Amino acid sequence: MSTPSTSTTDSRLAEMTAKMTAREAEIRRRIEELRACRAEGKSEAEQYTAFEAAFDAERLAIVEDMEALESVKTAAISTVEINNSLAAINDKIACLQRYHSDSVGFLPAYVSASAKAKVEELANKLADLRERVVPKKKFAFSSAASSNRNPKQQQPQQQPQKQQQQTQQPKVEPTLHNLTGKTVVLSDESVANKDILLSDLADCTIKVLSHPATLHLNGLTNCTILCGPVHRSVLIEKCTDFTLVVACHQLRLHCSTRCKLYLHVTSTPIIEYSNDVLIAPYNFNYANLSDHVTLSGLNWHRNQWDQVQDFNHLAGHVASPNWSIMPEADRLNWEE
Amino acid sequence: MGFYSILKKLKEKEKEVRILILGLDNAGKTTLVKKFNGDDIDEVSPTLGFSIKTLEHRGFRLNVWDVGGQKSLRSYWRNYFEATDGLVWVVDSADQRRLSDCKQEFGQLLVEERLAGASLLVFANKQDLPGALDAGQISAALELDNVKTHHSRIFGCSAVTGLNLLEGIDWLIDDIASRVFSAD
Repeated sequence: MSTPSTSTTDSRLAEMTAKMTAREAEIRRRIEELRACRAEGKSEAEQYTAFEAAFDAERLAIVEDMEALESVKTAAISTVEINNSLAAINDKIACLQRYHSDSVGFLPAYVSASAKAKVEELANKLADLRERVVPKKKFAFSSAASSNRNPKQQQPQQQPQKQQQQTQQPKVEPTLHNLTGKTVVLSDESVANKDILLSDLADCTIKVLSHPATLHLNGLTNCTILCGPVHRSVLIEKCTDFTLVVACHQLRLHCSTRCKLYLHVTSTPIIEYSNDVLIAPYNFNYANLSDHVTLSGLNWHRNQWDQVQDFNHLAGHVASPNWSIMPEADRLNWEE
Repeated sequence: MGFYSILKKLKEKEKEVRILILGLDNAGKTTLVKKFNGDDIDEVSPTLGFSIKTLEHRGFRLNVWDVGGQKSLRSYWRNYFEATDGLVWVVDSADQRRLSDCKQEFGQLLVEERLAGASLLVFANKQDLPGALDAGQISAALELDNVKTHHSRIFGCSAVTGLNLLEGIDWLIDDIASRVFSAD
């Protein structure tokens, strides 16, 4: 594949996308063929020949995707696009792996082993590629929309914060650490699909208007956290006097006290070494909520907010004294 | 014929392997087992107690013991140590803050007599998260190179995408098989 010049990047990208779509259709057709052939009860030899063909086609397609991504990297396409492409390739590899493991039953050992080795090779290549194309940069919030909600409040802590940022771990990770009396809004791109850590905050209001992958809260005092749908798990430790409004797949609350949780949780929320916990259903509303729900893949019809399990109170027939349902009259409405 | 060899013969017949899965809470242990078994992972709840799954894989019968990782449950882990062939330690690679807890709990298992001799597989899970440390970094954090008490190996994996799960479990089974089911 030739190296593109910067001016042709857009057309190359368009070309790439068109190619990918066409190829995907072709591969789907082959897989359908394979299914049909299995359904017709063809011989094993025919089946695995078909497997090899479909597998190799997809494998080559993935290799081409990676080459294409590498060849455009010199041009200025955004990190987000690179990340999206990497994620798409990763999905395809996972899909190929699944296809292989689904087919193990009828594959001869040699074919199966070589297919497995090929998947491994792809995964390694992708890891290499990721290292080359993703620039190692430090994470910084661009939209630290600070406290215009409380204009009276002074902000004498700005300098220590800057130092904190410099001493941060080199890892790319959206993190807010050691703030007092701030209002921070994290939106869309900066946190979508990311793992967020909020730690050692006091008297802060943090709004996450996006769909992060995970959310960790640690050492928060007197804070309010409003968050869009989280793809996976929320983990809260050592927090006191705080309100959290979040939708997520799993929620764990540890060593915390005086918490108000407004939840949409698709599995049962659990608490441990915590008390004075009030639970209410999720009621945060902001402009892109429904889009984010879709992107997060959360089941919006399944909410077990009130099925709290207290791991320190395992007597099933007696209600745990550590948590209760918030009376409806006390519930606040949370808006953007 | 000693007791051990009777046991060995029995196991040989059944090709049965006991695998114990441990790790801090939120590491993804249950998700990993479910994904490996091809189950739906969207409704995985934090594990209260433990769950046992019997899987057939490559002609082996795997008895997988998935034990909850919450702090309040960790003191019960020892009840599951007996007769373990393979230990799987699952790490949330994106949770750097609790890595020291993770190392400490891990260290306690390594000196556990009843686990001596079990093959040790470490899964550096959640590799699909942008903030995840890679397998090498997790290995360094757990000082895996210094583990002399067990055959061990680490794999970076993702229980959500399924990446490397098969490879990891295959290694574990191969390692167990080479010890327990070696040709007489």
